[in-house]
Amino acid sequence: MTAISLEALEQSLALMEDAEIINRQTPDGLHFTFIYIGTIIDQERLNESIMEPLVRSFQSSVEKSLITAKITRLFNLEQALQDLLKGSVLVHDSSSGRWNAILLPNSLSRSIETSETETIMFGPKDSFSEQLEQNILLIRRRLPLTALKTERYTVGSLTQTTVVLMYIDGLINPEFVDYAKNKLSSIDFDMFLDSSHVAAFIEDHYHSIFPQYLQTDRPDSCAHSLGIGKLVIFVNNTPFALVAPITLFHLFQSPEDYINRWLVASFLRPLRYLSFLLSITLIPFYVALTTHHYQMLPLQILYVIIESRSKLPLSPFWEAFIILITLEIIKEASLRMPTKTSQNLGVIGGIVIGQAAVEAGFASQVLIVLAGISAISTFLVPNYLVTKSSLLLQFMFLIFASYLGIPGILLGLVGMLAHLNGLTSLNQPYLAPVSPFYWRDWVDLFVRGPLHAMSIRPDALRPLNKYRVSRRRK
Amino acid sequence: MRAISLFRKTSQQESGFYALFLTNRLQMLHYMIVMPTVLVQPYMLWVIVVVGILSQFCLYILSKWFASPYPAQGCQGFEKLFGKTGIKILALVSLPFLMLKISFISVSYADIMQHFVFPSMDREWHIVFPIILSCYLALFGMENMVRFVTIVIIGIIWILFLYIPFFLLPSNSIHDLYPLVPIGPEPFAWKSLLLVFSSLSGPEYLIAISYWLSPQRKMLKYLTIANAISVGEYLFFSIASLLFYGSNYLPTIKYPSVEMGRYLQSPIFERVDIILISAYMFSIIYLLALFALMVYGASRLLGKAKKGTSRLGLIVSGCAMVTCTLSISKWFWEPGIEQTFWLELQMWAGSSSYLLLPLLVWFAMKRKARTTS
Repeated sequence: MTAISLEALEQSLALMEDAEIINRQTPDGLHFTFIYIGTIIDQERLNESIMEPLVRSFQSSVEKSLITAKITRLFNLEQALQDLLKGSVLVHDSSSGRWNAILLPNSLSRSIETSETETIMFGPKDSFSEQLEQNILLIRRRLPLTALKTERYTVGSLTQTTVVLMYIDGLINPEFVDYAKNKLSSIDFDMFLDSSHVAAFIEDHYHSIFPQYLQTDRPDSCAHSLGIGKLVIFVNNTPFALVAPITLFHLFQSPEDYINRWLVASFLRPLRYLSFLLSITLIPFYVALTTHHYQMLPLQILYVIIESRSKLPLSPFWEAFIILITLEIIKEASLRMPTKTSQNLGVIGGIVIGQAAVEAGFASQVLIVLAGISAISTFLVPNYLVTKSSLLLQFMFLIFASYLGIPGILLGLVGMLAHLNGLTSLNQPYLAPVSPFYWRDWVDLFVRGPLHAMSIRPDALRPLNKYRVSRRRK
Repeated sequence: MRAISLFRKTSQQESGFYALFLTNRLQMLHYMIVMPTVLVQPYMLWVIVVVGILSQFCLYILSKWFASPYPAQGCQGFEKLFGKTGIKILALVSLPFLMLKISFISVSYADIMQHFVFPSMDREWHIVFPIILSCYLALFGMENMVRFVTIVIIGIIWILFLYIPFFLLPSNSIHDLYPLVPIGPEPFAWKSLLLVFSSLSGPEYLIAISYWLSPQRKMLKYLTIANAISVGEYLFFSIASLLFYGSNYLPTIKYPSVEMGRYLQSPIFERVDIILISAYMFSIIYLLALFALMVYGASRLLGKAKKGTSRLGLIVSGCAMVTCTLSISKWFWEPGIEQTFWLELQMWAGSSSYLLLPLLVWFAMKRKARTTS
C-alpha cells in the first residue's frame, strides 16, 4: 500500500487532460484540494453540492460542512485512484491532512426503452439499459423484498467491471448461489465489455454451441426467473442480464407465453420446438430424400422435384450448401448494414438472388421454398443465440444427410441429444425436466399449462420454498 | 489421457421412473428383430401372457435386490455379497453374455437397415456407426446414461401409434384372432415360450446399474408397470401382425413388424418405414451405450478396478464390441443355419440370464443374511 499524497496523485494523473486538480480557500483560511476526472463526474452537482457549501462553510472539517454527502475516508493511494476512476471527487483537507472521497458519478445514460431483441405485443415494454443501478431498480420495483439480495463483484483487470449477483434468499437453492459465487470469484481476465464475456468464464462447457446462460434485457423475465428460484447476474455497461440455471427448454419460452391465454400459448410453444427442428433438419431432409431415398416420395411430389432438378449441374448436397451459405451471407449483411439499406438487401436477396439462382440453374425452386421456410423457422425461437447455434447444426445435419440419408439425420439427432444431456448450466442438468425426469414440471414444458396449475415452483430447481400459493405450507 | 468419472453418482433423485423406462426398453429390444415370427397362431398370444407372468416372478426377485441395502453401496455391496473373487468370476461370466447380446442386436439391426433402408451400403457400416455413437453417448457417464432413457422413450413412443391403423382396416375381422384355444392336440411350443421369455429378458442387467437407480422399496411397483406395458406392447404388435397377415402367411415373413411399416403411408412420405427403422436407432444406440459401459465396468473389475476410469478404457471396450460384432457379421452370419444358430444362442443366453441372475443374487442375499445372523 502506498501512502496517499498530492505528488503521487499528480504523478498518476499525468497526461490525463480531463483530470482536474483545484485548490479552494474558505473564509476561515482553510485550504481544500479537489481532485476529479471531469468526464466521469457530475460537474454541476460538484459545484452546487460540494464546492459551494464547503468553501462558504465556517465549519472546521469536510464531514461537518457537507452533512448530506456520503463521505469515505481514504488511507492509501490505490484506494484513492480506484474511487477516482469510479466517479468520486477526492477532497484534501489541509488542516487535518485527511483525504476523503465523495461519490458523484455522471448519471449519463439512455432512457428506458422497449426491448428490441425480445419484442412482445402485450405486456411490460421496459427493458434494461447500460446503467447497472437503473437495471437493479427495475427489478426492485417488481420484487419489493428484503430477501432480494445483491452481491457485488469486480471483474477484469483493465475494465474493473462491476458484476452484481441477484437472488431471493430463502427461496433459491443455496447450492446455485455458492456455485455462482465461486465461479465469479475465480474469474481472471482483463476485459469484460459485455455480459456474454462474463458468461463465457462462468459457464461449465465453453466448447458447446448451446448457451448455458439466458441473456435477457427484459426486467419482467428476470423477475419471473428470480421468483421461481433462479439467480440473475447483472454486468455494468451492458443491458443484458444473465439468468441461470437454465435448461434448453427455457430458451424456447417467451414472456408472452404467460400473457397469452394458456391454450393459445400451449399451441405456440410446440410450434417453436417444431420450427427449431425444421430449421435444422428441413434442408437435410431434402438432401437425404433426393440423394438416397427417392422411393419415400409419392409420385406427384417426385415429379415436381425431378422436374425442378432436371437441369441442375450440382448434386443436392452442393445445391443446398451453396444456397444456405448465400442465405447466411445475406442474413449477416442485413444485420451489419444500416436499417434502411438492409430492407433493400432483403428484397434483393429474397427475390432477385433466389429467382436468379433458379433461372441460372444453381438451385431448384423446391429448395428455394424450403430454404425460405427454414430461414423463417429460425426466427420463431425467442433466443437469438439458439438461432445462431441452429445454423451450425443445420450444416452438420446436411453432411450427415448427404452421406447417410435419413439414418444419418437420426444419428445426428441422437448425437445432439447426447451432447445436450451431458451439458449443465450452473452445474444443473441442461435437459431437465425431461432428463432428469421431473414429471410435475411438464405443466410448463412442451405446453404452457394454466397459471392456476403452476402452484409449485419447478422441481428441477429444487427451491427452498416449493409453493407459490400462500395457503400451502412449506 | 485425462481421468473422467464415468461411474460417479452425484444426485439422489427418485428413480422409479428410470427403472420403469429402462425395464421397458430392455424388454422391447427384440420386438423389431424377432417378434412375432414364432407366434403365428392366435392361441399363441396366451404364451405372451403366461411368459409375462413368469417374467413378473423374475422381477419380483429383482425387487428384493433393490429393497436390500447392497445396491446403494455400489461395488462394495457386491463385494460384501460375493467376495472379491466372486465379483471377478461374475464379471468374467457376464462378458460373453454382454458381447453376445451386443453383437446379436447390432447385426440384426444392421441387417434390417441394409434390407429396408440402404441395400447398397455394406452391412458393416450399419454396425460401426451406431456403435461409435453409442460410445460417444457412454462417454458422458452412467448417471447421464440412466436419465437419457426418458429422451429415448420420447424419441420412439410415437412408433407405437403408427401401428394403430392396422387395427382399423376394413378387412380385419375378429375371426382372424380365433381360435384362442388350440383345436385338437398341438405340439408343445417350448421354443416359442423360450423365445418370448428371452425377449422379455434384459431387466436382469438393472442389477449392474442398481447403484444409479437409487434403490427403494417401491421398485416392484415400477417394475410391474414396466412388465405390464411390455407385455401389452408385444400383444399389440402380435395382434396387429396376425390381423394384417393372417396366421397362414405370417410365418413366411422374416421381419413382420418392419414389413408392416412398409404399408404405412402419409401424404408426404410413401415409405414411412424408413423413418420408423431409423428412429428405432434411438433405442438401439442407447442400449448399446449402456452395455458398453457395462463391458467397460466388467473389464475394470477383472483388471485394476482401483484405477480411475478413462476415455481410453471405454474406447477400447467400444473397439472390442466392434471387433466382436464385425467378426460375427462378416464370417458367421449367413442366412439359414448360422442366423438361426445365433438366434437360438441368444434365446438360451437371454432366458438363462433372466432366470438365473436374479435367483443367484437372491440366494446370495439369503446366505449373507444367514451368516450374519
